[in-house]
This record gives sequence, C-alpha cells and structure tokens, in this order.
Amino acid sequence: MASVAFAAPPQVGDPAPTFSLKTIDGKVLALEDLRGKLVVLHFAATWCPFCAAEAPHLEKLYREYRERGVEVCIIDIKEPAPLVAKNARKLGLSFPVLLDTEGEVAQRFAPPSAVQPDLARDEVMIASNLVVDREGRIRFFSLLDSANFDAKLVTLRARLDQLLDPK
Amino acid sequence: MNPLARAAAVMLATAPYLGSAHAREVVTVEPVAAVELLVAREAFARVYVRVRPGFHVQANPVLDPALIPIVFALQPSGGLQPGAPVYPPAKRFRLQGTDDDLVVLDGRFAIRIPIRASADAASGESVLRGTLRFQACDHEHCLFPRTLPVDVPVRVRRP
Repeated sequence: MASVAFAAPPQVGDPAPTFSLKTIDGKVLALEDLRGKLVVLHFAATWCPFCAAEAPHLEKLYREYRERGVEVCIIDIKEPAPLVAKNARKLGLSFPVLLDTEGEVAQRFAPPSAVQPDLARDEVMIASNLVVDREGRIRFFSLLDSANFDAKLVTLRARLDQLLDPK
Repeated sequence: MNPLARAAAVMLATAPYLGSAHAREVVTVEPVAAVELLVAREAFARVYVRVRPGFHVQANPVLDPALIPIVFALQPSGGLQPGAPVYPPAKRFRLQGTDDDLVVLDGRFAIRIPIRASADAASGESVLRGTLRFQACDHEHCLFPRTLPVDVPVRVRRP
C-alpha cells in the first residue's frame, strides 16, 4: 500500500507530495530517497498508448541524464505488479517503476478539481510528467495534451537543462 | 416481467450513466433491437455504439497487445449460443511526434454478433446478458478502461 503525505493539490513551485511505493522488483522507494537529484516522474498505465509512446524516450532521457544527477521513475496507476513488470521488461526500462495500486499518489499529485473537473483525480494524471528538484519542489508539470503530444519529451528536456545549468 | 420489457427497463435504468455528459462516460450503447431466430439457425445481433465526438476507443484487434481493444462479450443461455463478434473496420490514428499508429473506432458503429439457436432451444422471448469493455481517449484525456452492461433481446420461433 502506498504511503503518502500531503494535503492540497500541488502547483509548480510547491513541495512535491511525499510518497513511498513498492517497485515492480518488490523494493520500496520513497521520493525522499531521491533527495539531491532531479527526479522525473511519469504517471502511466500499461493500456495508455501515449504512455507507451513516451516510454522509450524516457529510457533514452534516463541514459543521457543519469550521470548528471537525474533520476526517472514511472508511477503506474491501479494495475497489478505482474502486468506492469511484464510491460516494463517489454519496453526495456532500466529505471524504477513504482506501483500506485490504489491511485492514491496520483490523486495527491493531481491538479485542483477546476482542472478537467469531470475526470477522477487519478485519471487526470495518466500520461503526465513532472520534474521534482533537488530540494523536493515541483519544477515542471505537464498533463496529457495529445493534440500537442510531446512524445520525445522536448519540453521536459529543455526544463531539465535549465535546472541543471541555470544561467 | 416480459423479457423485452425488462431489457428496455435496463436501458432506461442505465440511461443516466450511458447518456451523461460526464467525460468518463463517453461511450453509449443504443438499445439493441430484438434478434429474430429460427431454431437450428443463426442470426446476427447488431449492437450500435456511440463514441462522443472528439473521443475514440481502441479497435479490435489492436496493433499493440498492451492496449485494451473494445470487446463485446455475450453469455450463452438456454440453447442460445453467441459466436465471435464481428467488429467494424478500424481507422488509423497517428500519435503526434511518433511513428506509431493506433487503430481506433469513433462516431457511431455496429458490432455484429452471430447467435445460433439450438434445435432444442425454447420458443419465445428471452434476453442474453452481455458486456462492452473499452478504453477511450481524446486529445487530452486517456480514460480508465470501462465495462458497460448490454442486454440483447432474442425471439426464438419454430419454422
């Protein structure tokens, strides 16, 4: 079960909700464990075509940025571990894949209810991307917009570059 | 209650769910016309599905097995044996910024399901219980997979 601590919907500049989730390898990973790194969080589900399209680009980003202190995590929403693990193997993901089996963490990260009010809060987060900085604050937050779908994560990479080299 | 009336009642009871403007309820199923069957023969049920404009559902079959295709499942009952559903031709949908195509359905379309009445099937009216499972997206949402109940009324008669 997820361990989550936070109350109000977070915005860019706010502290990220803390969480502790099981990985598909059976380990437990907390956001706090990654303090001091830039953390890319991608909320996903195996059935989401946009998530599948982004996955290889997340892996590429991870390989290119990890030596610079960037960690990547996928947080899978409401799916069983074996299915998620099988999909991660198929996609060749080498970074942590976390299991938000009840959707609690997704709900805590979700934007205020005024944003896409007709969706469940965990549903809003499908295919969203965030960057959490070294101090645990949210520095980038994008929801799915498939009309302007950024599969190659161009905008996210640009934000990472800014955060890695702020001039 | 008359089986056909019961099927209509189910549709009315689920109408707020099926027809709501809620984004999570983007797929509706029209009441299914009764299938006229002769014993030891086969006929097709037609299930008309409407997808809210702007949305699409994954077709059947899908190109990527990780995706969830639309699936209509009908339970056999009392000498009435459904066969494999026939899904409409899919449309190609290109994810922007990728080389990947999806195959999807949108608008209004029919799924055809063959139903065979065995030689000992009882004459008269009955209802077969079914479900429609699908996963829908539009340009800024991908919704959790959902399953709707669908009843198929059947009239069996002897030649």
